[in-house]
Amino acid sequence: MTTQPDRGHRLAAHLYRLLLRAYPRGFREHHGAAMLDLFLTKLNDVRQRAASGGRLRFWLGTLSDVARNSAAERAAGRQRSGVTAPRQAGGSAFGAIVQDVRFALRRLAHEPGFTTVAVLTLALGIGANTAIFSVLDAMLLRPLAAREPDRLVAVTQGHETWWEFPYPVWVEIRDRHLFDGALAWSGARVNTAAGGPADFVDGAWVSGGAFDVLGVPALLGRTLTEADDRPGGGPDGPVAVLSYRFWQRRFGGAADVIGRSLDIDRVPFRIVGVTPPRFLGLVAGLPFDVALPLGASTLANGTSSLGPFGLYVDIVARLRDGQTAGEAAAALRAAQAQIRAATMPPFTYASDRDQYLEEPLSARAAPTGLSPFGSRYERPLLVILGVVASVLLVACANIANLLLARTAARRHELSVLVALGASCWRLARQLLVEGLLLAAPGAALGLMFAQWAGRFLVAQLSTQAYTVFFDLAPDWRVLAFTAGIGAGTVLLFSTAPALRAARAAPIDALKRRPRVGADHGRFGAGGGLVVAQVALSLVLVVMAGLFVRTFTALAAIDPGFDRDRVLIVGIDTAHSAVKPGARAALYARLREAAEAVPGVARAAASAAMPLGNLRLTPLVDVPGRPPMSASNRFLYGNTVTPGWFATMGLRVEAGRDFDARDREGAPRVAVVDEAFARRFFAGANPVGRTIQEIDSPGERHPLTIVGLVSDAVYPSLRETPPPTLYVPAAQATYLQRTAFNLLVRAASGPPARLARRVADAIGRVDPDLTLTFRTLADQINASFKQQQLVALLGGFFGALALLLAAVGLYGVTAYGVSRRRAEIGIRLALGADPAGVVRMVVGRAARLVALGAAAGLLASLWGARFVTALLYGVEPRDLPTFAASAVLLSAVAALAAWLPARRAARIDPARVLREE
Amino acid sequence: MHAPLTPVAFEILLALADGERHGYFIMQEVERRSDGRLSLHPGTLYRALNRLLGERLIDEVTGPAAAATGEPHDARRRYYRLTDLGRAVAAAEAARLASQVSAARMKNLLGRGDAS
Repeated sequence: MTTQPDRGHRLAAHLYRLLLRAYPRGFREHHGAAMLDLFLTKLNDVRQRAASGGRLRFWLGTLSDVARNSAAERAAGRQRSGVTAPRQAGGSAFGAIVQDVRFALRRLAHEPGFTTVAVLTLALGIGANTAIFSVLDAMLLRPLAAREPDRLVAVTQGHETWWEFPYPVWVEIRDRHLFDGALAWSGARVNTAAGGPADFVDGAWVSGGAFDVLGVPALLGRTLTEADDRPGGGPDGPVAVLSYRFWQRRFGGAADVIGRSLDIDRVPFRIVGVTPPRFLGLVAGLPFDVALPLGASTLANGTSSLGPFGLYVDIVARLRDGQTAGEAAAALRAAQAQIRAATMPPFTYASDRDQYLEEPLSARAAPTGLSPFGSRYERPLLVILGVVASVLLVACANIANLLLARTAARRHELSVLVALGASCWRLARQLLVEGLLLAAPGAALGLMFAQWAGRFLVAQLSTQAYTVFFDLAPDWRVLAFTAGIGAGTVLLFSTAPALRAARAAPIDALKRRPRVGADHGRFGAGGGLVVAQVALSLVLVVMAGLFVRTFTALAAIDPGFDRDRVLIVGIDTAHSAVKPGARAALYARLREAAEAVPGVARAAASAAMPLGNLRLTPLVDVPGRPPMSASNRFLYGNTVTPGWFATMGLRVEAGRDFDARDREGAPRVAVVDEAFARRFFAGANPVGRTIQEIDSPGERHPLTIVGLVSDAVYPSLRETPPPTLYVPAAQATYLQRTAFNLLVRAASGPPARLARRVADAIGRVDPDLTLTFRTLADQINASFKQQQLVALLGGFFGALALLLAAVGLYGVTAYGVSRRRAEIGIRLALGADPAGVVRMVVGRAARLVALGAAAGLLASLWGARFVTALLYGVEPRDLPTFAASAVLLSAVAALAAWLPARRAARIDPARVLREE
Repeated sequence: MHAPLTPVAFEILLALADGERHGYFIMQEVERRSDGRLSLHPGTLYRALNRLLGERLIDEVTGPAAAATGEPHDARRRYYRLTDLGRAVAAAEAARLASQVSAARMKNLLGRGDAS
């Protein structure tokens, strides 16, 4: 993050230059440059010494310094020139505004409690809005740090916004020269440890001229060239280009990094360059650490990495001059038939081949690069932006209420001013200036809060498999957004008091003090605000309820296995000396080693994991059934060692688990799940039946079903468990990959603490294995991260809105009580029942709440349609959620109204009458 | 006739008593002498400097004379020095303060321990 100081520094200098405009021109011209210089030097000192708290103090100090001294200097200037500014708006407009600012500053300084609460409320509200907007901005709006990003298009398929193609498709597109250059980019985790435990970073296998097509020059050394992109490496051997962040992180920004060696999956690559700090990669949110030529991937992944089942790449092209995205898509479709025919994978079924030929290539403008998060998080973030905007509205209503109360209290003073000839506009302007003076520091603090909150939000998106990073430094869009909502809030909360002030009548100045009970108008305005607050906060509470229920519904899904007992050890044998044929024996040895570790109940290995990235989709024919349609053929498969079902917590319902009999060469067997039995055997016990597995075109094997196990989810928690076919790892040598999962079931307690001992045990069997650890619970939780985040944010802001509404109701009720003290005192003196007084006060509040709640329920019914897509396991108009939200709101409101009501009932009539 | 010096103005005159100084040095000197309790922001400092300039208590210098302070020459930094009038005013103010301090001491306001 060393880019931050430079940018922060520039931003600070801009801000200070703006602030300097507050000083008189002569003063600014004489001292401005020196002041800016001094300010920046001081800022530097503060940055080096102080934590963010010190910085905040420094900025607040700076703001107050400018406000005080600029106003004083202007006043002094007028004195020196012998012109005293008229008190009314007869002088220059600027002088009058300065007058207003000074007056407002004095007023706000006199009420530090009110000022602090108002500024902090605004900071929180504006900050939350800015945080969500800055994430949306970074995800969807910020152009790629490349040359003319408007001319970049992403090659996709059909109507998809994002598509990855097999490497051979890229070669066909590249060689046809349809565009002013094209590039391929394939993100992958790569291991940079020279030996010992794995050290994964975010790699990108990219085509040779990728950086030239993007127009990203090297900061140091050079970028990749076409010559580097040859299978096995170019004339300079395998080379690597580092991102600025990785260069800083791993090499401390060392200038002599060029020429050093960096191991990628245990193969040494030579570092030839570093990219500039602003270029984070092609995929928004997934920055690269090290870019490597696609051709060199054969060194790390074997020659098959450039085949039809090897690397999948994102393809981005640069449009020719005058070429549009539509023309680019047309050019691709014209070449479609040849490209598809030349890259046909060896499919088994004719229908698959036909489908492949017909899938249309397309192109879509991609000025922001590729945005996989955009499509996934755009809607949730927009909904949350709506939520936080509503919270800000509720907060504005509170501040408006406070200002209204103050305006009412200042009525006498305002009337005097009107009587002395001040225009209504002058009074309203005074209040608007006060509002601005609250909103400006609120927005400034909010911007700082947003930086922190935005980073927190983005951190929630990262999972074990990838690190999400966005550059959240505010750009002009974020600053404009913050300024815009800041100004909007001023209008919102200053309008009501300003209108009220404009109605001040000179005659009131003649009265000694306002008449008792003559304030129904104010109560009305405040009441209206409370109704709006209650309505809005009820909507937010309902939404929060729906999001939380979605999350709990997902968390409560029975995946079909024990989520809390299992540690997943990812094992990669790519760099071990073990031969492919010996892998089954290695599995068995590792399994035994893991089971010997104290605290381990069981261990087993499998190729795929439920909710994991690897999908095995076997093809079967069931004798006696007609040939199946393509969708019916879609199965899930896994190759497992004996003991896998017990380790995962699946039940063997009939037949048996795999065991030592199921070796290579022995009759081939399979275990199926209940969903399989339902689909293919109409729910009858399939044990003993025989099916045909289709390995590759024309190759069929009979499999005898020896066991039936309970269902478990595979692709996603939200989908019902699919038909699943399990085959023993020992017999499925063709399915054995270099990477597999060893599952370790803890005898008791959290499985994560077994990691170290299991790692040691595995290291004794084979020290060259690459290991990663995660728990099954983590893997499951990662699959509903988005819903968790939405529930967390929705719940937090729903609670905040409820609290603000309660404070608003409390304020209005308490204020009403204080205005009616005398009246209530007289009632009590005349023998009114204190309980009756409570009823009267609470009843008044209850009417407001009932109105607000009714409006809120209607708004929720209407608004639920916008969140339907984010819900799972709960209807958007779920009656229990609506009812519970209304009850919760009423309870909180009752408490907020009861507190002032109790105080009203305790008014001492004697004292009130004495005061009168 | 001069209005009584503000504390900031007096601090600035004190900082300039040893010779020509630029704004940053003055600020540091003031913060150092107050053990960091008094933090001068640019506005306060330059407004005070502006006023002292207007009252002819200090002068502004730019150029080679600045090199005498040992600081690298920086065209953007203006240096300030006391005028004869400024020195006299500072001395008068110091004398006024000293007489106040000795009065306070006689009335034992400072306590015995602080007498030195």
